[in-house]
Amino acid sequence: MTRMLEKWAVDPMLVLAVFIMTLFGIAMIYSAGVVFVPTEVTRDAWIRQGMWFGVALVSFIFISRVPLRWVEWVAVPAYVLAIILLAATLVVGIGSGTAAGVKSWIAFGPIRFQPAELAKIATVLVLARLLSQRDEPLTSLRDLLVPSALVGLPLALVMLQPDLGTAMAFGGILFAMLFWAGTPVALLLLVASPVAALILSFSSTIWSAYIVGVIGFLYLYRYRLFMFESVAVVLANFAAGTIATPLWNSLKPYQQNRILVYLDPEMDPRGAGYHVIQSKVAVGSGGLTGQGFTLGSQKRFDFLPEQHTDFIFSVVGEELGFIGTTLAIAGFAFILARLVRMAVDSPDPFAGLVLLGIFGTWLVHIFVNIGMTVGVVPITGIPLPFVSYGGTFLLTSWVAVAIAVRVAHER
Amino acid sequence: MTTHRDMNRAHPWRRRVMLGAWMTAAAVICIRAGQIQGVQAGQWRALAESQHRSDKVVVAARGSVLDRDGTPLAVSRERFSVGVATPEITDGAAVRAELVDALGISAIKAVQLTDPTRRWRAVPGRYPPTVREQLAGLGGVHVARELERYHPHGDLARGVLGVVGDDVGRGGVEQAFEELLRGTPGREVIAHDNVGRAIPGERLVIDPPQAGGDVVLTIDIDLQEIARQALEESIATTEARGGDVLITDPNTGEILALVSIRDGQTAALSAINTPYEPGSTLKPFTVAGLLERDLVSLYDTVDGENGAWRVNGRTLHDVHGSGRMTIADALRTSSNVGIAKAAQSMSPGDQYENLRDFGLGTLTGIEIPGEVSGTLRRPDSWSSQSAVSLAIGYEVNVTPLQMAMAYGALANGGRIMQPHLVKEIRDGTGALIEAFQPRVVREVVSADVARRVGRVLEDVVEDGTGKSARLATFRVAGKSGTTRLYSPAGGYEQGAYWSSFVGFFPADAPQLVVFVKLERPKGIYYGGAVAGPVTRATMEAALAARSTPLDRAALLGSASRPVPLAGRAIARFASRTIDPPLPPVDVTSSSIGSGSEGAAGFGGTVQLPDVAGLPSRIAVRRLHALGLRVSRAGSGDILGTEPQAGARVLPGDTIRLRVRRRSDD
Repeated sequence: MTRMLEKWAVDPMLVLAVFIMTLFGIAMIYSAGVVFVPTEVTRDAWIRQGMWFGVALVSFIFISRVPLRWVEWVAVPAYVLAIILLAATLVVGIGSGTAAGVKSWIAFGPIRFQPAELAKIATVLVLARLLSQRDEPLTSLRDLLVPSALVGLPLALVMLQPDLGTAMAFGGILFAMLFWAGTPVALLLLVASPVAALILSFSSTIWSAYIVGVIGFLYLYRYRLFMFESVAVVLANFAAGTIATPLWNSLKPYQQNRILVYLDPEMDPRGAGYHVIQSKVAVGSGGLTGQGFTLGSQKRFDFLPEQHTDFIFSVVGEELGFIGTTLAIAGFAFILARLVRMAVDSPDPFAGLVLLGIFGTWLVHIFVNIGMTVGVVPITGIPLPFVSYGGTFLLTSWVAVAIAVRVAHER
Repeated sequence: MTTHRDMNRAHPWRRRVMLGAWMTAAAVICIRAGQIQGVQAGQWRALAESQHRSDKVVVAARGSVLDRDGTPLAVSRERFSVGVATPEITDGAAVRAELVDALGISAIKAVQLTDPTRRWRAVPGRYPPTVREQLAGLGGVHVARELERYHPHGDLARGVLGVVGDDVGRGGVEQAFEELLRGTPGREVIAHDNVGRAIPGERLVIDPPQAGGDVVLTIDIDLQEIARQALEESIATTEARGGDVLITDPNTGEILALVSIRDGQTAALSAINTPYEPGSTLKPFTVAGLLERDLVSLYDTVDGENGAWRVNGRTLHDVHGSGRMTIADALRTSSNVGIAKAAQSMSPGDQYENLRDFGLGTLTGIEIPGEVSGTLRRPDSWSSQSAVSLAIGYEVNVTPLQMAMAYGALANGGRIMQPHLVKEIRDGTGALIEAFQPRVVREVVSADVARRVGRVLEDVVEDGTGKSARLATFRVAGKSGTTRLYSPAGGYEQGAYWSSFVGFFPADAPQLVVFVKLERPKGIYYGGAVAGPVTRATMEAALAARSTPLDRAALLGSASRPVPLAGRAIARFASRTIDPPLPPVDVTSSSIGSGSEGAAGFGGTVQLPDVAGLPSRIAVRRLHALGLRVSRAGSGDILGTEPQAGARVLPGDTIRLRVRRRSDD
């Protein structure tokens, strides 16, 4: 039995967990459609999600059986295609969902998909190839230049859409894989430091203190770095601080609002703060045990925004309560822990890096999505893997599962 | 490089850092979720409920006001207002068709109502419950229930009933019994969605409304109608500014009819809130006070001074001067001189006490608001004229209700009764809360004195100043009064009079006291000539209308003349009640007595008149006047009768009125 399962599913534990989470997602999408005034779209969403699940399962069966070298081989063309599509999105992209202003979709006839989904997998594969082919460990900032550029290109294209959430997912990919590849932690911190500088630049006092801290850190760490690297880090931090204001001004007003509202949802309770407050109202009124499957009142009475897609977890919170919330998080925890376990068990560096790349992607998705429904993360239009309604996202997530079990199977 | 090639196993701590990062993130979310869903759950739930729930007050159905036989006078009925939410309409043509059909509106109006550029259109007007049934479940059409006060008998007894405005009783019984009638409003919680649509089935009734209780009046609707009709006719013929008619039961103090009209307004309550000087109608109390104190007897004589008696620097006049006369004659002929002289034997204290004990110038305590006391000054503030003035009904302000109660004492053997307008009150389920029993306020004179004065008052009607109130069938006791109106400028107004007549019948065992007063009649103004006929017309109609609260068995014993009950009296009355417009009626006493021919004949049968097209209350009164019983449904216009007009029927037969249902809007 176990052998049969292993033969079919390769890694039964991961596949079973993901399978259950997908079914859970379909159930929650069904519940999200049980509202006082249903529309055809929301009422039947769970059926369409179920059909996409079928497509995803078929894809899983095929992809999990292709030779590992095909997976390695396909990385570069997939990455190139993804970059082309992402660039094309900036021209012919269309908006959808939470922020219709984000032109992140491309339509091929009746099928619409987000090139960013393909880009995430392709980036993981291409970065895994690059890092696994290195003979030397990554010890200097210069070593990180090419990997960072590989991720930075799609990240920048996604930022231009502008889709902050997906950009964060690329960040997750980069840091998880670099870290797994053995990059010293201090180096990663230095790479991340301009981002911190960007964020802290809202106050010149704090920013100045931060820069002093960075320079102090570079001084203590000076034996491990080339001079030009230290200079580059400082310059990057200065640059980040300088461009912060024009960057902020270049953000769309709704994006600025999302960040401001994260800091104080009450600032604009009817406008930008509405999503946060309504999500917290729904989650909070679920209490310990929830109002019961399909019975959430805020959901039924149309107070929840985007309850099929980005805010599906608000429905979970309202209807299944704290118990449901923690069980769902436990489910995701199991999946993520399983990926790490598979990486550790794999003798192949490529496999380990791919698994950690997928780990990084999903970690960002899960944390940011659930985090925004409970108000610990600013609102970014980013779906919850396996649970949120969305055909292409479900499909690519299952493709990622297939790749994960395929690479892990190679012993 | 080995370490690098073996990176997956080389650094176990990296695995722990990765998992640790995720576990930290998961822990942050879980702690936050615990904070929201555990610690703050109550707050968020309250916020959620404040968003999708609203408390609504459910108005209780207001209780009814009924007449003494349970005929509704004021009831609450359900009406429905209709609104159209155009965005919710799925089938515009069907909605329009139903609106036209159910509400009787034009097709053009229906198109306007369903104009998609407007989110909400309210249909003007209120509609009967059938509209709800017809429009229920029609997408986009909302029907809301409202309660409306409805008076099945129009403005009949409007002053007594009061009105309801903004769900609060204003004036009359509606105000006095507000607490009882209003009931207890209920409370319900409804859920609504983000755009405010109420969720069906998410209605939680917290407190069901308690329907208001009913007030059963002592008013008899037929007598009220009779009194009103008689007063209206008299006002029309005498061109009086207004007047009052009160019918009471002297034995219980119950008010059977209370009509006040002023400047054409039936909502007036001058019977309780406008005092006047009673003049000669007060003389019986002076005489009764003298007899009660044994100061004179009815057969003592006084000098009439030939109609002019100078006393304390003022000259009293009589209309018809005479020489010596008995006290009885003085009362019968309403001699100012005779009564004033007789009253001299009473001390001011006794005179004051006597009138006060008859309840003059004091509040009666009637149940409805607005009563005034009038004035009866204490002897210490009297002038030298006061004793004389008071003896003949001046320098004292009384209300018609006080007079009716005081005459009631003469009729019932000397007892001042507490006037009642309310017979009983019942709670929302119909269970009796309290039935008000007759209550004697005080014994003002002995039964013997009352009877002796009553007998003189019989003579007043038989061959004194009150002949115009004579009935063919029963002896009536009564007294007329004519007083000049005092002007606001001081003193008396030239040519402006109160004309009043107070009587009771049958004289030997009185069942009804009828008080009639007219303000500023034109032409003849003597109370006997102006108000007396109204009293008589009222009594006749009361006898004819079978449903009035008269003790028929006792009446048969009292009948002084063997004339068929519903014969002559009715004939005369019927001849005077052609309406509308009213023909000019001569109200001198001679002409009133003459009309003895009419519909009666053929061995007691009467010919059924054609009442089609008349307002139902007028039709009913016409039939009552012929001694017929009437059954009717509703209050619309009359289509006809069963049997049909022209048929010969016996008094006492029941005539069914066919009534057209009046459209409701």
